[in-house]
Amino acid sequence: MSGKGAKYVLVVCEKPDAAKRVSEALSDGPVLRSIVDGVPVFSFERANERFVVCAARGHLYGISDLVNERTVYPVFDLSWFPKGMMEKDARGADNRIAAIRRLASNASDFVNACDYDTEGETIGYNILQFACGGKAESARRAKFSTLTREELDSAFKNAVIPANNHLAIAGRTRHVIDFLWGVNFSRSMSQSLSSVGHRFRTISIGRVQGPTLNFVVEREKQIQSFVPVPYWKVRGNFEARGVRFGADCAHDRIRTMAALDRLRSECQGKDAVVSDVTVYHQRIAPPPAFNLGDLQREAYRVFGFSPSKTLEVAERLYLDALLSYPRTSSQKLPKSIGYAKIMAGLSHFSSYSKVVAKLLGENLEPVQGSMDDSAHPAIYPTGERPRRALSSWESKLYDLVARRFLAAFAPYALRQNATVKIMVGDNEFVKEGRKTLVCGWLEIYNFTKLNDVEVPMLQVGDRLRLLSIESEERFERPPPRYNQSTLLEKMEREGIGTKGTRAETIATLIRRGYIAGEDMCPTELGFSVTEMMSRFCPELISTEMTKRIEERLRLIESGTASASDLLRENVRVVAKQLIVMKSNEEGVGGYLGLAARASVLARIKLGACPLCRSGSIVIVKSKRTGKRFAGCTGYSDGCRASAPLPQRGVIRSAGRACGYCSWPVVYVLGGRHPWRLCINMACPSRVKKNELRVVQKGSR
Amino acid sequence: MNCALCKREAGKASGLCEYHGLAKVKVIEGFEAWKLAYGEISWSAYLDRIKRSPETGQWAKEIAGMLEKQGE
Repeated sequence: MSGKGAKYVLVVCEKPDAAKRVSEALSDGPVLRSIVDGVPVFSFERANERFVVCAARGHLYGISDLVNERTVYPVFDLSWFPKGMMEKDARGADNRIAAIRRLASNASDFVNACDYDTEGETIGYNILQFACGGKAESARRAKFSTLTREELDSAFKNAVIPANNHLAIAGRTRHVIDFLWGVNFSRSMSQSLSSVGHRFRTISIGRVQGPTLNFVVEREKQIQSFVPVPYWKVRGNFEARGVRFGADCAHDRIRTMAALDRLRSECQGKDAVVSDVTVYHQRIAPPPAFNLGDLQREAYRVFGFSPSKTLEVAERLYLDALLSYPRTSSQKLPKSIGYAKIMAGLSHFSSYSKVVAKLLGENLEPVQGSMDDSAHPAIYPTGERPRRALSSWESKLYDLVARRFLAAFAPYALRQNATVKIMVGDNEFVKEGRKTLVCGWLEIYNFTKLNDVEVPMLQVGDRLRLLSIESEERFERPPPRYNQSTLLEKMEREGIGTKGTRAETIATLIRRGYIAGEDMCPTELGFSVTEMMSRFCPELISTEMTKRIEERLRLIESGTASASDLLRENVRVVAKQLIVMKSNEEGVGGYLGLAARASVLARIKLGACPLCRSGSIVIVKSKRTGKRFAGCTGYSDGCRASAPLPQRGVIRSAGRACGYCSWPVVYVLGGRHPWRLCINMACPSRVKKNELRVVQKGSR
Repeated sequence: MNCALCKREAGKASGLCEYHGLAKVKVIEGFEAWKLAYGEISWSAYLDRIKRSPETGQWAKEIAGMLEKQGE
């Protein structure tokens, strides 16, 4: 392959699966798979030309400083290095670079076939520049949104040398800026922690992570300091021609008891008269096809998939040529994707065949959303049949995308809304009803349910009998905590991060212990880091600053702003903030030290001690055996509460005591599913289970 | 100096950290809204009710407990 044989076209793909797919789609004959430097490479003939396809596995090059020493900061002299030099677990990247370098030496022409977006462009640019001997500017670019044979064929036929590399410049600039902020501040914080006598611990924060964490912390502050204010909901119960029904007071919330008493006395003994009846029909348009953010939110709402899981599954389906490229902002389905061809493909799926048959009889004109993306259309199914059995995650996500795509072509749903207004003296009561008359797209996209509420048949002037007035004391509720979906939406609305990286930012905050639990509750560490940043480097949690950088990066993508100007500005801001951090090293370290201690305790604390009731049950490691067990912090005061713990997996408190014995309940993570158990060996719940097992064995 | 209710650094005048200080303001403001809503409610009854309400935030509950003790 790398010998002195005939020259070939070297195609660089972003992922190994994509390389295989590209080879199979483009080849006129058989595809040869060979191994170069331990890396699979594909070769084939196409129109009398020889092609060799190699693949990266994400980024093969990364930004680093020339010193690469975790205690040294500030660092502004940055360069691109092979990933294997920077990260221990990226050694495979070295083999890939070696393979590509070897293949490039004998190539006559180069094609960049990485995903067509900022990250893909950066990956391709770096490989062509560093591993292929400066071919970034002379390589042809194959642009495609699906990995179907037809689209790949057209993409390679039309591959040309791009007129500019703005996208790659923007991508590379983003990496440098993220490194500048992330590494300098993380090192500064870690050093501050060491300076107050703590063991060195990496405390990291990034340009997008800071504001995102701040959203969660600000929301938590509102929730934890919330004081509910009372109000009353009033409802009148009426009777008309033997039919009884309730109607809400037009004042949504009665704020004082005095007003409530007044309303009651005003209604007493008064006639109820229908003052207005409004009936109108509402046409509900189908939702547009998904962009990535919409898909992540909907998959979370319908299936509970985290945004990062949704992206991972969608990318898997893209690599299998079942879905189009998922990292898109577009909600539009251009004609060029071939509506009828996709429908014909989907008609082979039993679950869509009837729907497709119905839609093909109509004019194929999809609903288009307002958001656009110059590189890719909205996410759509290609119509190709899966070549392997899909996992449950994949099937569900595919169905969601396919139904959303089909629904975009379906007729509007028609709803009838009715509002009846009833006057009791001067007080107005309202009864609202809704009914679906024509299901339209709702029949196809069955993940949206609209409830019907009946309204009695009434006419203006009808007299009703007021049966009673009911009031219910309620309290205002605190704002809800963010979940992964609403936090993603907030990031999108505030314009921070990119469509492809937002989910990863959230996952990183969880992984680093700044946010815990499904309901995105900030930990002590999360609070302290935010508190410290707002005091010493507010720029790091400022939405405005991140938003400004994102806007400038978008301008660089379009070729209307200079990357070097943006870099210079960022160096200035980072340097200024670092000086403040350094001059307050003790203060910064103090905040973080407190948080570090609290986060360690939070990790090992399982719950309150059920025996002494004053200590806490924590995870302890035996000095003698090296095994872990649960013991009370009041051991030195004589409490001997202890319990064995599973030796494998991560143990986390379930946040509640056992209903039988009051010992802490824990989750054991590590297998396919978390395992929940009460740690007390003598717990009646365990005894019950064991007895049941004995009975079951006996009956067998 | 630490906050009277947690281990965070406290402000010199209030003796409370930023978060409990914020909760204290909310608890005091809330009393006005409750007085308006019920016409008449005593300070101790108000504190007792917000302490028991599931909607009240944890910091506000801690402040209510502290103010209750101070009133005794």
